[in-house]
Amino acid sequence: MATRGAGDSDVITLATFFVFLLAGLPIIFLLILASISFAFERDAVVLFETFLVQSVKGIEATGFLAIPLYMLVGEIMNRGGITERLMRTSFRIVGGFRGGLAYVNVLTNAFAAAILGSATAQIAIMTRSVVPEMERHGYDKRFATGLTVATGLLGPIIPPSMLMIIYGVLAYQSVAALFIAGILPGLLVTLFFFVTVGLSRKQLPAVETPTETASTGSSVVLDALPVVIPATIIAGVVSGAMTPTEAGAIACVVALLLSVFIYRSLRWVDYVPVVKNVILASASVVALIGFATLLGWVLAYEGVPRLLAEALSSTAVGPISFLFLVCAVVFLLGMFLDGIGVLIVIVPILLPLAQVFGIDPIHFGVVLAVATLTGLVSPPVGPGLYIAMDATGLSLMQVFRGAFPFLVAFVAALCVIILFPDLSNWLPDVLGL
Amino acid sequence: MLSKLDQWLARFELALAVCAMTALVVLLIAQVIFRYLLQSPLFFAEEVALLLLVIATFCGLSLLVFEGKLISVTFAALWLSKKADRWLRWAMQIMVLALALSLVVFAWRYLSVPWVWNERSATINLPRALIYAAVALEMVFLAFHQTVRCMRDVPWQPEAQVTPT
Repeated sequence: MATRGAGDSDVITLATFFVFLLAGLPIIFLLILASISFAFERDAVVLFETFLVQSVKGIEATGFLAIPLYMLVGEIMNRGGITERLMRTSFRIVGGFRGGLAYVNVLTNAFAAAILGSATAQIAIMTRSVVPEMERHGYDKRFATGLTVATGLLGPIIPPSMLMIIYGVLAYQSVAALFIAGILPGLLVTLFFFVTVGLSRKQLPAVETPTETASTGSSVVLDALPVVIPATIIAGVVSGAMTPTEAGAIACVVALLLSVFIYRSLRWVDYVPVVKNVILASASVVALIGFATLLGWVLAYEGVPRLLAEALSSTAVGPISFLFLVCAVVFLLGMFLDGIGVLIVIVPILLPLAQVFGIDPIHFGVVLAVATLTGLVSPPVGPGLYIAMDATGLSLMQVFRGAFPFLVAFVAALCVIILFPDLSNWLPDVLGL
Repeated sequence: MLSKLDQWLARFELALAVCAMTALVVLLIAQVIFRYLLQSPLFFAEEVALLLLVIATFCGLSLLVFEGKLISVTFAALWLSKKADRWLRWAMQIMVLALALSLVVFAWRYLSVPWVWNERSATINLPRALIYAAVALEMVFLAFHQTVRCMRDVPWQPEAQVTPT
């Protein structure tokens, strides 16, 4: 009986993967199916018995404990109407310009990024709150939705960031250094979004309905108070007093104190719904990490990383071309696979190569995190687009068209980050991280 | 009857996950207090916290299945007729069930090997296989939720009886 070659089995696994992906098999189970299919096609059925064990081992890293903690902070603050407070604060800063609400959208997302840390959570919250407000003020719905989807991408760049935590654990790098390394690239992306809003004058309403914003001293302070949370996290990790996980725990306490005693927005009856939301959101991410680790382990067992590494190293001629090539691979994978899955599968493969090219692992992490985000808003998978579709009732292509100019700006910012590694490395170096 | 059992099981899992998540947060806050204020870190904190994270994660995964909130690509729905889409979604639910059951079988085979029960955790001396057994049990619960969903959402029944996902 003729046996199938490695090439045939790869094609079968890939075909299985894409067919079931487009048919709507949940991503987590798609990873399990791909692992089973790949091991089966390569006659490595001996791996099957340890599948669940490998998945559990994949999530047993101390760094991952930070994930539910930062999600809890975001959920507690969201109950307290953080979006409205941050919008009012942003309005006081940039609301006076033409297209004020578009700038407010960008700035609010930048602030929210420092509290929520997850692009999907941020897009879900912002599309439901900011888009209707912009529409009410005469903005085109497609433009408002597209802008909100794109600015949601700031979540995983500006600290605290889930992607940075995951990369830090996978690459054995300091999560604190990665958090700080994300600050300047995050501000750069924000700046690029501001410029794009400025260039989209045709999309801005000629006359904007004025927004009522109370500006008493106490209301200004109360609205800006959520900024204490990222300040606590950054101060904690930069000073070396706390690990990012511990900073997350302290941020939970600060968020609880703010919500219970100052905003009075959280009651005991809210406790179970808040924790339940965190459990579901955290399970989506952490289980994905576990099963993506399983796929990565099966691929490593079969030597796929070595083949990919050889192909990449023979194509790239220097660190810059290598990083652009990595971004292209990440973008392609991100079109079909969740960003976290992409990160887990490729970091063990590409990090050693990046170091051969003399690329700093922290800079590499920032580039990977930013590049991974492009997949979040790229059809056909792009979960960010589906979340926005669900919230606004627009079609996939309408959301994508609205977001397109901002995605171009996002990619341009990514190119600048690749070309100037100091954007990632300077702050951690200065702070001695 | 099955539906009632399904809901009861989901309530039990939610209670377990809420307890695990609460304990995880309290433990990590206590760890900061003990380490920095009392200068006496809890040596077991990280291991127990990871155990709680694993429990909360797999309970959460099972609850995601119960509530039909697993992330998937709904691209096909844009192109297919409503009837074809219902059939396809049901086929994918069967696939999820088959994969969950496969993991349970794999885990059962692994746990049947006596020596795997010898490995113990570093600080609390818990058999590691017990953790894997707990996760396998959660996968059984997940498979049960999925079975009930598959039976409830059969595509040959009228649309009104199908629970929206």
